[in-house]
Amino acid sequence: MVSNYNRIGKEITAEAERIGLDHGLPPEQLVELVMEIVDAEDRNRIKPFSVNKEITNLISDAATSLPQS
Amino acid sequence: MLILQRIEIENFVCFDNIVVEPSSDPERPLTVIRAENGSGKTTFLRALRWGMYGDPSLPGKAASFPVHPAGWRTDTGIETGAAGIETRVAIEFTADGSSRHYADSGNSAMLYRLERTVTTKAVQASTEDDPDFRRIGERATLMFRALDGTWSHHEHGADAVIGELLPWDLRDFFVMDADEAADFVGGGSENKTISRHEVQQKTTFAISSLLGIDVFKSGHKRVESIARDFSRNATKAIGDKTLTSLDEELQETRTQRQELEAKIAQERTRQTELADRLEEVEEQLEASLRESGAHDDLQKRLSSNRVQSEDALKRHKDCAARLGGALQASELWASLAASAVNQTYAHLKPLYDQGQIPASHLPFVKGLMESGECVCGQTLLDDNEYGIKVKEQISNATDEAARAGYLAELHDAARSLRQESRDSTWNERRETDEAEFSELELKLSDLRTEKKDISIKLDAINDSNIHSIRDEQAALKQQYESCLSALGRHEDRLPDLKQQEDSLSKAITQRQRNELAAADHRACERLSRFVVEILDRAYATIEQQQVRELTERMNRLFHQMAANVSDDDFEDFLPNKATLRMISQVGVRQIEGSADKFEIFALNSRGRYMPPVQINGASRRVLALSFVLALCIESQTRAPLIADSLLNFMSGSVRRNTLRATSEHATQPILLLTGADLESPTEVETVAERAGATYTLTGQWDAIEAGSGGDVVNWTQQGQVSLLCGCGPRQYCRVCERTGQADAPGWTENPN
Repeated sequence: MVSNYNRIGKEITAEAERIGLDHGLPPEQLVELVMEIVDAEDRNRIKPFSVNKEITNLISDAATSLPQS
Repeated sequence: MLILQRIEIENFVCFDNIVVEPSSDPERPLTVIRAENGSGKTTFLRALRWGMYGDPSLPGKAASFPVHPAGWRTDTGIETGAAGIETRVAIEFTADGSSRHYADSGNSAMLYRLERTVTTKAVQASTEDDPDFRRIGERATLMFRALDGTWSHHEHGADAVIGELLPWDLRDFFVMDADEAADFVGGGSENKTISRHEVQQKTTFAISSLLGIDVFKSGHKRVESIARDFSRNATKAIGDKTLTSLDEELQETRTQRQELEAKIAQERTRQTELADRLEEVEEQLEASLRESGAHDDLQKRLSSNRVQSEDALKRHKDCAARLGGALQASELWASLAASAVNQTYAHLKPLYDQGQIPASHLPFVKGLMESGECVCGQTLLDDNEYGIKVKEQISNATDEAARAGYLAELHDAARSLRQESRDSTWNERRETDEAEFSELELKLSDLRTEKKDISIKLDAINDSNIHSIRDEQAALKQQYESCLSALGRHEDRLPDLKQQEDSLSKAITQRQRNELAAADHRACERLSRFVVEILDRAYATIEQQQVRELTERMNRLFHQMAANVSDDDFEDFLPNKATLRMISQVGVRQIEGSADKFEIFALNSRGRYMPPVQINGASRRVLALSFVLALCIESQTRAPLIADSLLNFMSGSVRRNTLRATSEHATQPILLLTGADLESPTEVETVAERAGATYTLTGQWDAIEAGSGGDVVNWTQQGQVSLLCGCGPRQYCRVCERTGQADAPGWTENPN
């Protein structure tokens, strides 16, 4: 039960902007990806499921849509 | 995230049927349930927990802990096997789904209804310690109300949703009694001990869970592992050889194959040429042989000559052996002595025939001498004249007789040899053999001559161009065989080369695909590394910075409750003025040597760490409450804080400040208080100002007149139950426990 999402989102956004700037990646997509991963982890903690597969898919999908620098 | 709207408790220990509707007014979020000891505060807390988590939330051995009304069996005379009694707790709450979204997702709150029921049946206890009841059919259902007002079952079920909204491990955090609150600090109590490890575990879990630190950690670890998987997959997809080397290998194989095909074509042409040439040569040879005439006949004659020669030679050899053997036989000697023997015999035979040899008269004379009388009648004695003469004659004739005997023996031998010589066939055989030998000599000579003739003729034939043709034929045959062998080798190798070429082509195609896949894997790995970095840095900020902020907020809250130091005055506050046993600073810190674990700490006015056992119970409770409130504020947790006897044993100012701070900072504080907790006008004022709902639990049921109702919110005709009246914090009515305090200062009668 993560209720600290605002702060988590804020910190992740700050880091994603920095990474995005350094590597030419859109920060919004990075933030979305990382928050989805955090969400999947949170859900898995409450009720375990095939989280590895879901996160792998999330990254694979994001990698195909993100520009390659 | 979760706000309680309504709590219904039916047939739960002392509660027959009560309904509490906590305040959900953000301006007046406090709910006060006033109850004296023994009126059901703890039972209310347990009912709420049981409603949320079921049997595991019950104290001790859950199955032995009764949830049914205390007097149910004895009062009603229910026997074993009789119909049971159903206990029911229903909790209605709203949740806005904020835990699933970040940065104000704007999800509208949804109303849920969680209802847990169980039936208790009476059974025969096997021992005194065993329960005489058994609960069956416990079930929890979760419904939610859609926008159109209709109720539906939640797809994830009650336990999953409650587990997400108020996890089991945080039950002491949100639904706590005084002792459980103090467990966050440690130190235990007279009735309870708790290890430092357990305290750290509780504190760490609350911080990690609400701030999301554990999610960061597990997410970080998982994405790192996924990044490694992507890296491995990329390496695996690429393989050992580069595309260039595969291309080069293919080109080389292709060239080899083309060269081999050219060689095969060349060898086939050569094979045809050689076959043609060989055919020509064989025709030439045949013609030449025909021209040379009886080559075959000559060969046959030569062969026959060889056979005859061998036979003649064998016979010649035998014959020679026989002739050689004859020279060594005795017959040879007889033959050679025959003439001498014949001559000797011819001399001796007349003597023999005349009786001269041997000397036969001498033995006669000797006989006469021995008889003593001559044929003439004369006496022959040794001493008479005749006898002496005869004896002289005998003496003279003895040597002659010996010679005659010898000659007689010689005669006999010569006669015997002569006879033997006359009987032998040696000469005949020798002559026969000699004749045959001569014949064979002649025949062999003839055969040699014939062989020589044949050989001369054959040589004459070989000497012709047949020999060269044959040489050419042999050479051509050799070349043809060599050509066939080379062709076979080439043709055998060709499929291998073609297969190798195909394999390489496929490998290149696969390789190209793999490189694309590897590029994808590398892109995923790269992105994973970015995610790890983001999680890592964000985690570090949360773990360090936000925990520092939590500590600061907790310290302020503690001082607000302990010393009535407001946020505005906090900067000017001098720690040595702390009123709670010299505690000057509190907070949360990472445990040395175990950075991912936290504990609550308190420092005294000299800045030294105070072990929990040195902190009194009230201070520990305030400390724990400041931690709970600060953590909820920091993590923006919107959840009820249901606390039993939190203000017990607190001094007046601390109690007032704690009540005020709780009502100001908790999202939905539901405090179970005693009348003593609400003694001062300040507390009453706080409750009046902040409480959106107040209830009183009373054990004064015997004061109720049946059917009177009055201000009893939920009235029952059952005997041993707690009641809920509508009195405010400083009110009394005729059914609540304060009914006897009508004259107490500051208390007014509830007009209802």
